[in-house]
Amino acid sequence: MGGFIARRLLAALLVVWGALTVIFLIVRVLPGDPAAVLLGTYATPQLIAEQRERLGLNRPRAVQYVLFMRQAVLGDWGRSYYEGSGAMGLVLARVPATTELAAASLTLSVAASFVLGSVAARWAHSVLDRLIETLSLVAQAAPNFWLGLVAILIFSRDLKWLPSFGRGGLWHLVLPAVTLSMQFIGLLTRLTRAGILEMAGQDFARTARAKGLPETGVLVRHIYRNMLIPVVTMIGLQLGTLVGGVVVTETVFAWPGLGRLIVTAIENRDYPLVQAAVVFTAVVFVLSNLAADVAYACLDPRIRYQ
Amino acid sequence: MMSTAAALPRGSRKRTDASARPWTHTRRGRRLLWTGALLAAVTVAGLGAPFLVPYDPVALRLEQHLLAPGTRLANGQVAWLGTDQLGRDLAGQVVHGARVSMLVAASTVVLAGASGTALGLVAGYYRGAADSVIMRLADLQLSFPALLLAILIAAILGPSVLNVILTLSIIRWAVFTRLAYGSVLALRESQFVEAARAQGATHIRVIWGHILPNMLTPIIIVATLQVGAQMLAEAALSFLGLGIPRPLPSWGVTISEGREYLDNAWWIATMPGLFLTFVVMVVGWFGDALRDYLDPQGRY
Amino acid sequence: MVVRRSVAAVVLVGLLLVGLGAGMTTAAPAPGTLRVSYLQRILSLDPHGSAGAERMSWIIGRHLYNQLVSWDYTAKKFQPQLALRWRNVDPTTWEFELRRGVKFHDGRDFTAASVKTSLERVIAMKGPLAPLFAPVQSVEMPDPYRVIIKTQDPVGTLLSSLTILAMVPAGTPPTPDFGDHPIGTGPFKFTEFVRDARLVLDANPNYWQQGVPKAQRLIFVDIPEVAARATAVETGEIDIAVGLPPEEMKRLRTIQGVKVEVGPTTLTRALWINASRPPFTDVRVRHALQHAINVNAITSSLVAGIATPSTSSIASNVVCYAKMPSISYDTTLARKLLAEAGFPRGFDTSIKWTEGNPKEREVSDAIVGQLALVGIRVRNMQQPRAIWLDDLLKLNWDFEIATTGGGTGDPDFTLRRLYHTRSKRTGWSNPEFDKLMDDAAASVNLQQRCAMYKRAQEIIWDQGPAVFLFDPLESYAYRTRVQGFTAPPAEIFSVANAAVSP
Repeated sequence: MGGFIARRLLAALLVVWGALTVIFLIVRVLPGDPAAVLLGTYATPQLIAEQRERLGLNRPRAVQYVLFMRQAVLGDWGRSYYEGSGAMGLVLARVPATTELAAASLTLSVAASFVLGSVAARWAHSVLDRLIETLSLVAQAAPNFWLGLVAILIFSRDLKWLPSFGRGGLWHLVLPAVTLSMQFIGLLTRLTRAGILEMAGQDFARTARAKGLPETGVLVRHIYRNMLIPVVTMIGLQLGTLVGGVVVTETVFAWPGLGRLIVTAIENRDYPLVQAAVVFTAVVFVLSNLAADVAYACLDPRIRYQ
Repeated sequence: MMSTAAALPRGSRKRTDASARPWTHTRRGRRLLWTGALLAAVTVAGLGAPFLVPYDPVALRLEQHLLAPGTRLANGQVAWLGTDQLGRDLAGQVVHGARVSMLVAASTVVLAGASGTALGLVAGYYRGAADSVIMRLADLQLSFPALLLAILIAAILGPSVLNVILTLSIIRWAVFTRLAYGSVLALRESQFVEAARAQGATHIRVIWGHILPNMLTPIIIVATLQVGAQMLAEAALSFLGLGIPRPLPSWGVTISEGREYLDNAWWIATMPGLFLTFVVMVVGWFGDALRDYLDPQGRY
Repeated sequence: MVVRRSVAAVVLVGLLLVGLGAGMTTAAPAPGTLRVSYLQRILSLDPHGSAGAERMSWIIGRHLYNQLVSWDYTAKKFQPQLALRWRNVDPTTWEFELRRGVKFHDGRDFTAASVKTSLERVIAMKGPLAPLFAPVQSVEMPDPYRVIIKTQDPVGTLLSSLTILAMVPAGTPPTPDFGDHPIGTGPFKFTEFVRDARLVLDANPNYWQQGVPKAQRLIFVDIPEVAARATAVETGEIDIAVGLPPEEMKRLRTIQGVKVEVGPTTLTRALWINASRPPFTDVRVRHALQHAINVNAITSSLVAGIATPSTSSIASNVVCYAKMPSISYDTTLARKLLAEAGFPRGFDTSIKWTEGNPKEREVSDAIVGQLALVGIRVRNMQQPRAIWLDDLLKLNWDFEIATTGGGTGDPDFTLRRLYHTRSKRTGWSNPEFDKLMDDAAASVNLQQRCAMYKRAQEIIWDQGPAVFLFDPLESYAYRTRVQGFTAPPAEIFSVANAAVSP
């Protein structure tokens, strides 16, 4: 077990190093000079040269890379070009806002699509089923930002039910979370319905039915348990899409999250900030994988550590 | 779709259905037929209507900007969908935008689907180093926020229709790779593949003749589902200022630029939005019908 | 692999939800709190750093910091701020007498050493403001409340440059860390900055000016989407929204509890023409462009009510502005000029711009549409800011949409900085203009300078390195509970005199 974890940790480090290297190269391939963006329209050749010197951009790429890696090993991700604060600190400060939004909308999507999908499957091919199917298609087809702005106009401006922008109490979370989850609800509802229908045709469900269990009982006691894994798998696969939607939603609702930070960092060519953000994402991804692997290994004796 | 009867390891149920009656007489077949017809009609309309409705992106009428749907313009025509912020007829813009949006969505799905499937095939069939590299890349790709990747790629490539297509293809290939990979792993161990190999068939022949035809169903189904996602991704790129460059009209551009007028001229962003939603729904219906028809157990 | 990852994700989400419940707080506006939303995000609170020339930085500078002098747009003269009196000992020597009893937010006294630090710091930071103060040779302190600034050559713009130089405590090092905990002498002091969300400032009880500030707390709120910003002022979630488009202004005017106003700016929106590239090297082509663009149509439709057609290369609000004769919209004349220059069928070209100013996109589309009418086929290229800047500074463009002006409110800030041959900004070069600019900058007599700037404006207007489109106005929508706020005479506003009733 110890050896297994050590091997996995080593592999995880390799992935993080890979992500570091790739993003180091990508930001430097992006057209545009960070020093010029920093100075804006007031830039002069002399000021640009001075800023490049200050930011260490005049050194050869290879030297920059070695310095970057050396600092990374020491846990120093550099400072944002725009402010005195350390880049990683700026990234970490944004994490709660984004996880709050993503978690809320994930919970909402799972709950809503579970109910809708079950109803659609239970009365498959009925009018209700078609209605849910159509609605879930509509939910999947509406652009995020359009939906968000319309929601603001209706629920904040006209009905005055909910705050229109910013992060604060639970009420602030409602509109962004609903907006962000719409696409997800559409997709998951369809998947849940399909999953249930597939399981319903299988032997264990038939046996349960043959024993005289009512259809709802079959659904609750046998089918849900068996379809959880594929649906959860699909949720995992879609997480990247969800996080992508965060960028747009955060802008529309003035939500101070990670998505906006990364987008503005890319726009500003703030290399240290982009690097820190990507490293953070990679570490979270790798660690959660690792944790899951270890948990599985502990829970399921059939899994061998190779 | 399926090339030979022998190459149908799990199609037996469907085949008895189909052989008993002509396919158009089954419920699933009829549904496939009408959704397919609807999709064809939408496609023809989207590609053909621009020839009927004139639209010139540089022909502005500033004095008649932001007019509500149904207003009669100075030249006697009626702007059924209203006019935009520069006084252009929104109807023309939406009709012409259809072609760009649909072409972008379709071509990105084809590009991402073909390359992703090919990579999945290689990884799953040859295993070894190719497997490790390709599948780890796919994992990374799926874990990284697609839109952020799109921002980086679009920024590197610069604005053009081709680059938007490339960008949107690059962020979607892994979905297909993962799907193809799963199918190939199962198929390469199957009896008919082993039989073909035993008869001395080359790898290419095995892949082309036996494996590929049997894994197309899920890929086609997922592809139809991706069309809508790609249309939305195009709109999101426009929102970030990295979308289809002007003067080409596209739904994504019109919706994204019209959003600043939602308060006062709701029709600019909403009209193309309705059309986009409708097309995504039609493709979705067709995808569902296709899945029900090809894969009655609903595995995908 | 995938399954495991998904399970991990779900577990993670569960954990986060637990944390979420703990982090919930509800924020209700406290009485006396003024919430303002501007159209730019806050890049940094350091007044001397790389963000030092951003409009948002100057607005914050009016609240967090003070300057030595300020320009009075109404009386057209400089007014004392932290400097009470000033005089030219000789053309290269300026003497300032400082206000006594002024304290920084941390309790330290404002003295001549602060002035010296501020001047040296802005130069050492090498930010966009540094060139303004580059001619400063030495700062002497004969006593704690007297400063003598010596310059290499006579600098006519020193006072106007000082109107945007924030005073920071003596000994502040030239590093951007200062922006994390800024300290000034201004009517508000720093409390909290949540990037991309809000900047919270609290009233400075020891402010040197009696009865200022009126509000207890000032919050700058970041709302990037313009429709959302308009909605927030309509719902009362913010008190003042700045930078709204004409459609929103028209609608908000009808809303009860909301007042709308526009105020002048020192800005000018222009279509820059790269005169170093053919065919724009030919002045006839540039003249054709001046006649081919219907400035009045653009102003009255796209930016109706938030702009006035340009009447010179600088806004009418800028010192030494001189009104120029209007240029007719005449496509026939434009075609004739093009034909004379050898382009009877027009030519192909492109326009580059980036998002940042209201209605930039619509204006670019309108220009493309109008130039098409005289046969000029323009490719409309919206660019990401980083790439746009690259092209702009390398003169790699045919047309640019430029928003010029602002800053010190001095014509030098626009005319010499952008149109002088040395500046390499527009590709246009005119020896007479260059000489006028150098002479005007070296003169400390405002009347003499204005005479030179007037001639310079005539040259630009006649030579056409740009088609000047309109002078934007700044739009303000505010709740009626805000008292004592009126549209300021320039785009850099202060709300120190605004009070809020509950």
